[in-house]
Amino acid sequence: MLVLLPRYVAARYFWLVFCWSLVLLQAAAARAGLAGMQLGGKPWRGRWPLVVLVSTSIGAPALFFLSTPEVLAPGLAGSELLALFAAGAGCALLVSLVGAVLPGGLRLRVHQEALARCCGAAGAPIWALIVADRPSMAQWVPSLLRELSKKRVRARCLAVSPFLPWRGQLALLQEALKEAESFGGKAVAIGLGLGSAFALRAGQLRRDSAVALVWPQWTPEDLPRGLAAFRYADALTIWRGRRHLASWRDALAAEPVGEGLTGQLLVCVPAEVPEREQTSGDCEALRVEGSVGVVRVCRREEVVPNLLGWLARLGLEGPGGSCEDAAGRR
Amino acid sequence: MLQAVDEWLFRLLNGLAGKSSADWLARMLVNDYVVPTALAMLLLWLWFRNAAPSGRLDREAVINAVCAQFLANLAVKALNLAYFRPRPFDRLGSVTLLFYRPWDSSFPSNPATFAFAIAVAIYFGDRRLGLGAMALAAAWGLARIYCGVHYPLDVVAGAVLGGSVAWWLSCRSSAMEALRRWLLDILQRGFLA
Repeated sequence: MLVLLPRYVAARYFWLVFCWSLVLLQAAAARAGLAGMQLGGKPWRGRWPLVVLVSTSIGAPALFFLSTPEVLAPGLAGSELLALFAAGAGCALLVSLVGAVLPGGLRLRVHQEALARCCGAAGAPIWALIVADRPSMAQWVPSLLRELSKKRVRARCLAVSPFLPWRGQLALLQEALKEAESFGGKAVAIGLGLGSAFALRAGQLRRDSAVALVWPQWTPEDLPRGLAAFRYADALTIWRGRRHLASWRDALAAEPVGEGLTGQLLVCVPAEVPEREQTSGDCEALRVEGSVGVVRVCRREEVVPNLLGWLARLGLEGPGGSCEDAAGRR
Repeated sequence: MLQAVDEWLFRLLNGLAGKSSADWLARMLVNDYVVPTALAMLLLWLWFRNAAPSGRLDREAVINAVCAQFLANLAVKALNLAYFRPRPFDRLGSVTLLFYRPWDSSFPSNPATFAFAIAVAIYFGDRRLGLGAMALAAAWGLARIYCGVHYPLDVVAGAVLGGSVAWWLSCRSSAMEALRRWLLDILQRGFLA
């Protein structure tokens, strides 16, 4: 039975736990890359999470202690403290999840519209097809698009998610490839993260396509499990789309990967990704099946320069006019 | 002999109380709110900080910690039924008391048992974080002696009891291993682990 006396000590303890847990959860989510748990769906960058975490971990209990002299008198029982802790931490988790859902979807939509304006203007010739999952989208796509734009390479970007239907996303890929057909030139498919599975299929569907894979993930074992799902989506999307994981799993397990690739192949594995998380896909198999394969281990910040170097060697720089120019002319 | 050393050590530490600004720090540490909450926050951090498969070890440590403190608490309750040791302020004269007067048995120290059960379980998941947790647990134990509510032996016994339970659950118990696997698989299916 919870008596929770004195009431205001209980209330202050609840707020201590709530605020402390919220900051801690945000810092942990930032560290683990769990965008689906971060308020506003926007990752914290730099040293801020650590600074805020340390300040809160010292400041919050000190403030609680100074403002509540009753902590030195008999008060809440152990079971009451446990219940208050569970309530405070639970509320902080709920706020983190809901806070990522509400503006997160909006932000993603705005981001996609911006990408479309920059690089997917209707009728623009497609040189590079970029297929990326959400973590890679945040990490590499903006800088890649910027650099491609500078080099006057036209690009089309597709965002894929394991919580959306596999077939629907495959249809989008085929649609994009049709646009590439109408262009008539040599196309490049760049797959980032789980987008690698689609980039490989693009390479198979359009035989002369060159394929680049960054942090390649194309086997069922690479699909997110447990908490890692929050790297790819917010709680609502995960809940609604959890059944699609099975269709992804079946598709990745059933279809042979790398078979029929004839174009140039680059596999880029960021060195900072721990061994266990890199990829369960067999790079060696790809190297044999692709006609000219290069497997590179590089630093995260070297991924985009590596891709650009590879594109330059393929002679795929565009004839003129950046994406922004293309959008502007329309 | 042991009791004499225990009392001498108690007097040594408690004799420092009430004379300096260290009292403020001791009062902040000795209460039932700050250190337990900090330890629980460490568990929360450990659970969420690594979502990759390699983070499973962290989450196992959290489950060990929760189970260890529960079992260790049961052991303390059982010990309290069998043996009651009066608090120092009840038995000795001229004790500087900086905290309220707990009425339960002094031996073994319940806070030390709780804190070391969690700290040792964390240690088997993450050495550095575990050492930090142990330092926090030790500070809590010291503060209990400084403030006059425990003898040093109570704290040492609590630390040994809590630490042993956590060590056993983390390293020796096959039943615990099965429980961890079962629990983590369920939580993973619900995207919580």
